[in-house]
Amino acid sequence: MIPPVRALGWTALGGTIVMCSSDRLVHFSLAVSIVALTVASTKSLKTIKTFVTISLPLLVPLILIHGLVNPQFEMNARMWSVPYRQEGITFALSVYSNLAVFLAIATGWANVNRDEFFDWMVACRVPVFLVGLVGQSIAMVILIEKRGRAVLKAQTARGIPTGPNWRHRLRALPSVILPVVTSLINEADQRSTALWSRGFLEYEFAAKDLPFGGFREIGWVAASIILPAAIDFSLRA
Amino acid sequence: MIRLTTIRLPKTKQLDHVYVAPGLSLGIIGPADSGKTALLLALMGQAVAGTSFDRQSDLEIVDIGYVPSNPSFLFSGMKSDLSGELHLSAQFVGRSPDGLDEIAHRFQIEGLLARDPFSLSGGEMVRAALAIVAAKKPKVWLLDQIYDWLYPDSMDELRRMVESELALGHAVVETHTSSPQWVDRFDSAIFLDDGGETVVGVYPAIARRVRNWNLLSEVSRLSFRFEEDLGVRIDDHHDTDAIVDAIRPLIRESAQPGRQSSAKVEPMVKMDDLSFRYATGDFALGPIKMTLCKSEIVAVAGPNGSGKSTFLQCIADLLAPISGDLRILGDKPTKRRWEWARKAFYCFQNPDDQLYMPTTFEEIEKTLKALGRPLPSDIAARFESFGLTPYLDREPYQLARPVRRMVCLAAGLMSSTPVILLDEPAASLDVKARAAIQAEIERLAGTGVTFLMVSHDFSFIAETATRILKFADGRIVGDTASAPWPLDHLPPLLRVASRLGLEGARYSDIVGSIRPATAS
Amino acid sequence: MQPQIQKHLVVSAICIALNVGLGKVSNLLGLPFTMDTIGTILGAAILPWQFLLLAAGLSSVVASVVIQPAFMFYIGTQIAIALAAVGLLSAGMFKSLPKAAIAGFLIGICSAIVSAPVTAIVFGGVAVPSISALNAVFLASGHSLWTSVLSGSMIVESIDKIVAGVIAWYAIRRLPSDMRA
Repeated sequence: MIPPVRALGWTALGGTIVMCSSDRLVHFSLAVSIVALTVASTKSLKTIKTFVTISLPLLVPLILIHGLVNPQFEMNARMWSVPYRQEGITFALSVYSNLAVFLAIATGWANVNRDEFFDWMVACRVPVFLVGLVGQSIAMVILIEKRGRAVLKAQTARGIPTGPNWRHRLRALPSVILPVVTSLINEADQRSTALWSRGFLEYEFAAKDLPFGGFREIGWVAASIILPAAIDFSLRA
Repeated sequence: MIRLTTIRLPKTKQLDHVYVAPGLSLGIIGPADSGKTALLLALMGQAVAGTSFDRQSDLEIVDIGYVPSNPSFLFSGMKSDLSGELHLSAQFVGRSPDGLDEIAHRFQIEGLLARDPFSLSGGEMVRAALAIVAAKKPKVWLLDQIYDWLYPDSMDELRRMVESELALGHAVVETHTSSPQWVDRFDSAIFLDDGGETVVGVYPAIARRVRNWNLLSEVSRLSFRFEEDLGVRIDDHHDTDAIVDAIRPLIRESAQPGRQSSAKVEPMVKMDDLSFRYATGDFALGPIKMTLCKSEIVAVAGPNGSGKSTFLQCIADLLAPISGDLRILGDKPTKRRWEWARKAFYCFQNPDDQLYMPTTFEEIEKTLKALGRPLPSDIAARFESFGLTPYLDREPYQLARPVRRMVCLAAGLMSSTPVILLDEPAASLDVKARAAIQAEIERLAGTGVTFLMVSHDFSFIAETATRILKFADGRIVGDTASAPWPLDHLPPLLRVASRLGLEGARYSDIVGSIRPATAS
Repeated sequence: MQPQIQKHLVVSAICIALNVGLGKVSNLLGLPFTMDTIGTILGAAILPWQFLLLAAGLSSVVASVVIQPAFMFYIGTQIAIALAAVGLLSAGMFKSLPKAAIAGFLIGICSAIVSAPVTAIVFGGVAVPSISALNAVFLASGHSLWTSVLSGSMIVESIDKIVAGVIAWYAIRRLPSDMRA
């Protein structure tokens, strides 16, 4: 089995090559293959759902803006008596291909378990302080949302109007944001001491290397990197 | 193992030395900002502003386990579950991960291993933090006010876990704002008095030398209070039997047990089959059917996670019940939740969820303005009674936690709302501040305000409440309507009262039962 | 590792988390502001420049993991905002409320200028819905893609950053005295 983070890593490299590809049709086809590989690497239906939810809202405005509105492309085609700009549509699909590759990889990445992510960072010998910094940041983002809800409740409980119109909500904004900011900053000293006492950032990790996936991984590298690179190279030649 | 000498702490006179040795337990007791945490950090080798010391130790940081007052500060965020954090603890310090199962069992966190550490509740978080620290196999434990989060049963459990570390030959140092009930089991106690003096010795022998009663155990405080008010001499200040023996001969034969409730019978809050369920579906409250009357002071107690705060938040309309009816003075909540605060004001436990104005005065003014209330005409006297006068022009979020707490409580108690909901009103407060809050609650109840308060502090409940509800698993399982004291633990005052044949009596009731020639 | 450096790292993590998380807090009130620069502006007030730039850059990385992958491309924007914040703080632009609002506006302009090429080249003029809608309006009125993207971003970013500047002013005044520069 290929560790998911490494499979994603190979498809990311392949995706970078595809994003630089010159021929629009090849570009689009290879992009489709990279997206499929990425989804397969995570083995998760959630990845498909997330990918579609994030990317479709980008595809539709792209097609509308460049296929209908952008005056730099000629209005030279019709579909069901609706005029459109054919070059604009091709341009939109090309831009979307890059986006789709990027979004698929990033969406796959977002569905990677947090523990696997950190194991991968350590296995890649990322400096411990960076690993810790990213870890604390992500943990505190979750905390900020939780605190924000608690603060909103507490300020509502005290009678501060948090609605019904935008003017009230705007005036309430400092009362919700500032307690979150102030409490986090005031806690910095204690947090730092507590983490230091655990030996956090003080000692080197014993990095655990992720296992090699055998022939499967070789096949994966071939499909995601070697094949697109070869096709693109031969077209340019 | 660790020796500190020529220690200077902020606001405290110099301490000559502090010594931590294997198998030794040390208690550091002092009010807020007295330097307890600074002393604890000095033992770790960290100097905070205003502190200096000389330190000799044969231990490295891997050998010292520190649990801060907010245990969540220990979580690295690098692992999505507690099991990962335990492994990480061992990894950080290069120790083997063997024995983590035994640690999980010892600190009773087997059921929590798959959970995100940040999702844990108070008591669970403390046990998780202890386990995370235990994973690095420390020889010295430094515990900074970790018991504040806990219900009495949980406190006993935790204490047993800590004592098992002592049995293994490790040293334990704890900080407290007042002496815990096990203070006599410390090998040595350091009292950082708020008058700048320090007292070091073994409890209860040193109790008489501590001038600040706030720092003493509940039993000792009660004992000294009786000594002062009744002119009796009590031999052992940490034993309720000694108090009973000293007072019993003085009790009038005609003394009437129990307390009279001053509650009126006009209904204030009516709940009809009120039910609530969280969206995750894993906790349900109710159905609850009850009426609270004017002037009642109702205490709600129960283990962590039993639904007490959820119950109060439903009454404050901060959580929308899934069914049932709630009315205050005949009115139902509307969609404008902030307007319901004028009927039922909820004072949250964490003051940092509210404070943001530039000065303390403006903070309290903000609350009153939001509720459409004018500043009270006797506001200066009210600030003085809450001990807030010196802090009025200071930034509230930079004050010590007990003062921040007092700011929020004061705003609530000045709110003139018919119902006031308090979440742990006695937590983080010293004895003087608690007495001020208690006096104000009783005064306002006398004017018709209804109080509903969640509390783990059984002494505060015993002194203040006219009615007690016990919660478990989202339901009311005990009520003073059916039993004088429905909770599991008797605080020292009620133990003494019970032994004197004055079930449920308050301090003033006991003093009032003394023969006239004796009472001062 | 020295305690002071550890503290800087924790404060950097807080600044990153504020950049990424405060937008969600604003959404709790039903307001559309991203608040993605308050951490950077606070960091400019309390962190050494090395940690500030690290925090600014990692804000995009963490945002791309936690919110939306597209944020990865805007690392340059965050770093530019960090540099602008340092300059504006040194010039005393966060000493009063009106000045803080102007500082927010200037940060918004800076953000729009630096983000525009990324939005145009990588995303074809499509980014967050509000900017996309404005870009479409400008395109339809005959402007080039670059001009449309720049104009749309400037309008949305300046409103967002004026609010952020004001909130940052409040927050800077509430910093512990030993942290204030």
